Amino acid sequence: MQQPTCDSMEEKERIDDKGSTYSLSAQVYLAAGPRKNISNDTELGEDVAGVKLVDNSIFFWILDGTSDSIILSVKNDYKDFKLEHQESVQNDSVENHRDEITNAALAETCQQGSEPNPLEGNANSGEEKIDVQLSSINHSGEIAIPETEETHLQSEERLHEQEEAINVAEEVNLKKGSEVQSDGDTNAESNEKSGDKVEVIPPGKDLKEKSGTLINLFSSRILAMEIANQLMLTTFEINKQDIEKIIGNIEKPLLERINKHLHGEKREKLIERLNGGYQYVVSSTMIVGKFSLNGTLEYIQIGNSELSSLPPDVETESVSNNGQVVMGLTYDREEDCFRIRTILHEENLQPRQKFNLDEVFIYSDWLSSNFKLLLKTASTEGTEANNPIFQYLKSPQKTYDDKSLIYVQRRKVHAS
Amino acid sequence: MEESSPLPVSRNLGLCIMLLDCSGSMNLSAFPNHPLSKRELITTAVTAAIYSLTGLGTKAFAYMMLIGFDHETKILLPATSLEDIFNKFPDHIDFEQFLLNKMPNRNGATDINGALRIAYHYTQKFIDGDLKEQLGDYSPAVQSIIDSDLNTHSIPNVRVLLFTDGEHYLGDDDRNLMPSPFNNLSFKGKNINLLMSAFYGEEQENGYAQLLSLVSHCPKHPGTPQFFHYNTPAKLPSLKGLFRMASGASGFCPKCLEESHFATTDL
Repeated sequence: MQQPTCDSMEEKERIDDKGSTYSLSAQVYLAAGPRKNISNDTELGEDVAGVKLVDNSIFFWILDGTSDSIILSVKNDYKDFKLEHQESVQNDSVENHRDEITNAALAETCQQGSEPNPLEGNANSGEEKIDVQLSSINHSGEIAIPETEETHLQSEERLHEQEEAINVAEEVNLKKGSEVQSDGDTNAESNEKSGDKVEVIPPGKDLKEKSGTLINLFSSRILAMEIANQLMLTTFEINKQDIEKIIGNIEKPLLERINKHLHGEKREKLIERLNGGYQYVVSSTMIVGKFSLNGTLEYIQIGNSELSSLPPDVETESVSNNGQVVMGLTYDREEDCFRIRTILHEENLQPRQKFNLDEVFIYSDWLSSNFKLLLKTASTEGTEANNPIFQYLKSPQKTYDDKSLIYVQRRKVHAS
Repeated sequence: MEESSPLPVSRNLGLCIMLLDCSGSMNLSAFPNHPLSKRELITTAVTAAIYSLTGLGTKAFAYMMLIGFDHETKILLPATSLEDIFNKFPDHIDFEQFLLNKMPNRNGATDINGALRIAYHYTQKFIDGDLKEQLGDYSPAVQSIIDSDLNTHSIPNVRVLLFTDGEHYLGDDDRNLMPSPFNNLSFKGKNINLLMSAFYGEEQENGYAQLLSLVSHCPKHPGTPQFFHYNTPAKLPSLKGLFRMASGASGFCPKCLEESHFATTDL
């Protein structure tokens, strides 16, 4: 059983009107679920959890991309591969990210009716930086730069290829002079169907020259990460308008990503499928909120990620029908371009508020009912050894799913 | 060392019920001059589909029930988790043989109405959580389906697949197919038809029209019936895909099946 790991911590102190000092801290626990189906391993890690500190509040979010939805992916050609490698090397600061984003307007991108974002600090996200798995801000206030998905995929694929190459090289020694090819994808069945073959490069050859990197252009995981990235970079409040705007802002970078990588025959193939009634629809649940030093909690819940508090004043219900951010890819025949249609339901965007809370647990759908039951009778006081909440969190959950939990605590440190 | 959980972990189960025609006509050759009978062909396809799920992380929670029917209905395999199937039959050949042995083989007639009634009864009880005596403490797993208008619906993780090569026939005075009981299947007060049908034969046969009349339309692909037609050997490779889709409760119609082929591959 994979145990969750602590990935992030924030802390802030303040002195209240009575002279008491409070601290605000957050921990994020994440565990990638086991593969639901090894032969169809597609989107491991589609949970995205993040926190950020703004003034006297901690903002938090968990997004859970739908794991079995369709993935629009394409194998990169050599030119793109090289370009992206160079970009990933250059992207070593947030400022670099923002410069590139500004310059990321692509001629092929059709206008999606995007307006300048009135939200302070918003950056129009480019494809190089959409793959934030966990946004974290350390104690000194520096923002940790996330690894881009491309670099992640490339490095993973390279490792895999290295292993493959060693195996194949041994085989080559046995069959001298023979030309060897092997599937580089774990999804052998898919490869069989698509007829793709990945050339295996012998050890010692520079793998950076290798083309054929598989890039996900539009998927539920990409959607979740793109929204999370906007939440990280944008100043926002917990209200309908800001959240709608943040979600709306990701349409353009998603389309840019698709247009950048889809050309010629592959573009035509996608158009043919869309015209043929096949659905390229992706979705993600989303819970986003803000917990302040004065004990006020504000949140918006879209879907089945939930939230509990101590004292146990907050009772969320899993939102089932229409409980997702949904985006569908369409083709505009008249304008000859792709568009994204976003569905958000008004009833899920209503902010809720609670006051005088000390602790808040925000979690994806893996522990809801039992955990809520436990919170009604327990508290996190005491040592970890005798505290039932932490005991529960440390026990095997066996839900066979990704798991995310953010724990935010307001604690009175001392009174003057 | 594993610690025990202070609270019971809820078991959210999925279920696939396959209704397999075992009437006399299934003993005929799958295609002219083909060495395999239709019965052997679907047994192989069902087995291959089930064993393609050996890598599923949720094997303990995914249940399979196989029902055979001619003029009588027989439970070939009661609701059993994939984990238990794989433990009991590590080799798929043994499972295939077990299935063949269990199937009625007596040149029987075809009681589709009766088979559907039993499958419907069982499905509704499963959805209502009323099979705790057989399955232990459980809730039906719930999945989100996004329709063509991009609205999301919660439905139980259950599929029923009817596979036949003929029409309902219990004698000349009983050859009408009744309306599908699955039209009344409900989950949390809403009707949801989880029945898929597959017909093995020619389009002009009575059975084709009968079966087509049973089905509802795919919630994801408007206008596409939850109906599969097999009439040439060229379509056989997708038979395993169909059974696999039903086993994994991942789609409803031929378009869903096609999408699953390119869901994760390069364009």
